[in-house]
Amino acid sequence: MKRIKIITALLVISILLIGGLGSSVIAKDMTGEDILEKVDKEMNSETRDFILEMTIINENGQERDRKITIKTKGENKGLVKFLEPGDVKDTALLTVKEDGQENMWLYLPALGNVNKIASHSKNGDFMGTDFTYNDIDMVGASNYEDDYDSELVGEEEIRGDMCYKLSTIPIKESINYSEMKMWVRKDDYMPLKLEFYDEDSKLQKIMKNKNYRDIDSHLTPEEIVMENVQKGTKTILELSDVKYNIKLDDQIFTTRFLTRN
Amino acid sequence: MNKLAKFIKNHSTFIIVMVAIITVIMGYYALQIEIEAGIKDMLPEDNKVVEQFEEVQDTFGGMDFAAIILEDEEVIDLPTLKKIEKITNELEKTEGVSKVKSLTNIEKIEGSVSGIEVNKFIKELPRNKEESKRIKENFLNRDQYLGKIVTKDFKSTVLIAEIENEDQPEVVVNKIQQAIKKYKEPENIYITGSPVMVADATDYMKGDLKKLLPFVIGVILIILYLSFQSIRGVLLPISTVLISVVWTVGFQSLLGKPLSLVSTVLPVLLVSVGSAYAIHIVSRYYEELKLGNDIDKAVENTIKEVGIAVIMAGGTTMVGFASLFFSDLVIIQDFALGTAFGVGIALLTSILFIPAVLYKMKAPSHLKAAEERIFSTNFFKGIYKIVRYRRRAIIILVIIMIALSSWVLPKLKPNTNYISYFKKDSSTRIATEKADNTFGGTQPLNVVVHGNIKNADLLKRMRNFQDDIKNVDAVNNPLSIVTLLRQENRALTEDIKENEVIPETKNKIAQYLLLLEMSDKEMLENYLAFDYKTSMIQMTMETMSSTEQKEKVAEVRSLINKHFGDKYKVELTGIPKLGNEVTDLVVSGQIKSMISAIVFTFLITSILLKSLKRGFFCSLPIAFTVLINFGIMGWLGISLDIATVMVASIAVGIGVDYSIHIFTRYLEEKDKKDKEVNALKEAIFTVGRANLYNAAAVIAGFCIILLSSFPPLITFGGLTAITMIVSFIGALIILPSLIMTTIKIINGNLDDN
Repeated sequence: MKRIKIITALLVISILLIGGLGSSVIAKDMTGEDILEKVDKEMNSETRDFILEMTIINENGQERDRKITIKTKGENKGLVKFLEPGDVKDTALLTVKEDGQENMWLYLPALGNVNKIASHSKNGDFMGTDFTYNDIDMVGASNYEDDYDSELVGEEEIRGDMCYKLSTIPIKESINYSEMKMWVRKDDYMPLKLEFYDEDSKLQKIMKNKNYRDIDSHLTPEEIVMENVQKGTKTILELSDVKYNIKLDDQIFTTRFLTRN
Repeated sequence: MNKLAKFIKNHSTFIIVMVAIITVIMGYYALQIEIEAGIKDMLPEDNKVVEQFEEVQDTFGGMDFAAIILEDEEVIDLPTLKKIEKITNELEKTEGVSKVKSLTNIEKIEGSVSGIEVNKFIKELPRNKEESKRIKENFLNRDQYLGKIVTKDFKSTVLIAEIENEDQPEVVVNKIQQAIKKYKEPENIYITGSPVMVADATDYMKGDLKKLLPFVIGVILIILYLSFQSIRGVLLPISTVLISVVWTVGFQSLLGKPLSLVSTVLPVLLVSVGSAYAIHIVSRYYEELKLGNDIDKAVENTIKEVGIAVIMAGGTTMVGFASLFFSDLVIIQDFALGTAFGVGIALLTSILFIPAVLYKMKAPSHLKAAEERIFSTNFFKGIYKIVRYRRRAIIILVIIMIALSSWVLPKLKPNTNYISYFKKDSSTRIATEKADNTFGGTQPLNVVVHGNIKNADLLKRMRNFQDDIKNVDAVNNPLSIVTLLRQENRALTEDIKENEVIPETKNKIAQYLLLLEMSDKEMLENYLAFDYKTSMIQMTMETMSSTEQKEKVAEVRSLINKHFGDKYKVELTGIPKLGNEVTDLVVSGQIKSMISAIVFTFLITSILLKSLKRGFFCSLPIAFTVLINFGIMGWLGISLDIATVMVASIAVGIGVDYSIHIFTRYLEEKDKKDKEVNALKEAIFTVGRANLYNAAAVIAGFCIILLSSFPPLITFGGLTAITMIVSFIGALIILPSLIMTTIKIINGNLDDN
């Protein structure tokens, strides 16, 4: 269906959430591009398996909670399954990229069958959260240099950590932002804060990555908060049961497997 | 009054300077006055129906939209669709427009055995007739958009531009109107919808203000010149009314009260009504000079002799206007406040500012102003003859008219429908009629259902309600989460019409909703609240009279009761509900303000004349006038609306002045003359003349409102002018006839020698 880009997005979000452990020496005259490349490089793992709790808060403070598991293998395979709420339990989405072609399937347990679905806009909201698919792509995507112009504009402290401050301007017209500001921790190249500016150059959203922990030699934030300051809405993602580089059978990423549970 | 005269003389410079300074300050604020023409603006903010409307608007939005209708021989062809695509793109970029729905971006949920997608209904624009034909067949196969976006004959289509939740959607409408201008020809393009009507009304109001005010000033200038034939006789009265207009508009602006549909006539009204006080002052001033007094003495006598009379006349007029404050409609309350304040200022400047200026001026070069006019003398001779010899016929005639008017009183109907504010040939009306006839109307009427949407029972009830609504005439296009779920089911199963059914288990509903949320959150939010516990059924309603509208809304309400019963809380809201509320308040306000106007007038005249009987005599002609007003409305089929509802109170406030003048003069002369008949004759000849000028100015002022762009205001102007004539006749013929009859009964003869 329209704007369903879930699997790709989730592949990306896993990259965003889970970085590699930084160990590089900081060169003195780094450019914005260099730092982004570094951020990119630090985030890499063959497989990932984790649980994501999503709290979506609307402008009136009402909350909607969802719990999903995400499994990814390489850059081409991903599976999302709902755990909570109970009435959507076992609803699953599968994405497999083959020859650059992205295929997506949806399993609705109540219907008992698998449907192939199509995808559209990347500026759409990701699963009803305050993230768009592009937001998620932004940090994690490997094609930074093609999509964005980055510039190191200074150094600032965020929650006690010294950070590089980058100004990033999208080149592609399809991205609905005029600018993004990014604070990357100097020690380990972990992004701590991002600000998204809309087409009128007004601050639209603020994203914060909190509590990076070392899990299997990968730095992983426990919590990501995205706040839409214009709408007054907020999304909190909490990450648990994170596993890296475990064995995930290719069988898991097939439509047959979708219906089996 | 002596003290007042002295005070003015000693402080004349101070008064003139103060008036000038305040006028400049008020002028500054007056220029910042805002104009508001929305239906919500008419109702009090804490009104329950308004609160409900705003709550629903906050949750779901979508109540304010502009419908742009495009007509052509064939709309499903390349040039027209290209144009629609361009308009859609441009409007989507327009600030304040949240969403545009048109032929080129509407979607369908499509599915097959292997997949499901949401696609544009028209995937590619047709390059030839064959492709056009295929698209048309698609539309005919799915009734989803037929009659909603495009007509069955494919000669007409509509673009819906939703406007963001804003205080003044009309500003956005102006941008939309500007944007679509260049797309006209060869197709016909029309634009309507509630915010469009408000925007059009606002434009007309601005036009009215620009057109009517100079016009009324011109007319009053002519009347003043004919009356006084001197420059100061013209300039002084006109300056007092202009000062009163500036102060009043400035005052309203300071209070944060915008000009409304009805207060558009406020400046016009103040100019014509307010000039009366200045006329009396200036006229007496000339009389005093003609008697041989010097300037100081003439001004002093003027203040002493007519000061009280002018204050009395102004006081009753203020009360008449102020009685409108009893209306429950905010715009009429504001109007009451504005006019009462304005009349007060006109009164104040007439007795302070004019004498202050007159003290400073040299004696006029001629006194034509105070000379007798042959025409008016003959006129009053005629009137006196009628009163003297035809009084029985007059009384019989009055009784007949009372009977005829009372007869039609029950037939009076309120009509406050917004579309009736536009002339029949106005573009607004034409576009709205097109939208009614081809696309089922543009007035949003919404049903808000409280209950967990994952409950299949609730979905079934909603579906049944929607099916039933299709049988209600003039209420169309029901659309809700049920519609989306049915389409989704069709897409996820076999793509046939039979599969457009609602999911029947809680889990299935939840999973369908999840999928909808992930694919198009915004679309879902139009129909379902965040907590899944409130959902909305959108419908559109055609325009019709308030009475019919009330019946229709009641019919919808009874269907709600039938399908949802007591099991779920269901609310009905939308523009028609607001309209009904305005109608109800018009009627209740009419009764309250009219009764209070008559009671207050009776009390004031009784107090001033120190007798209940005299107060009753004075109030009689005006009660008759009010009755005639309703009689005329009944016989001509004029309905009570936001403007005509004010006529009765205004008639009481202004019209009673004529009776007061005649009656007080009659009482005064009765003490001087030996015969009561002669006293009455004297009153008619002296006060009658002042009354005539006064009435002429007021009637001319109201007649100018006939040039307004708003039918209710035109009717208002006409009706008020007629009531002025009736109350003038009432004071000069009916009241004297009654007095004459009483004299005859008491004295047994009418000897006037």
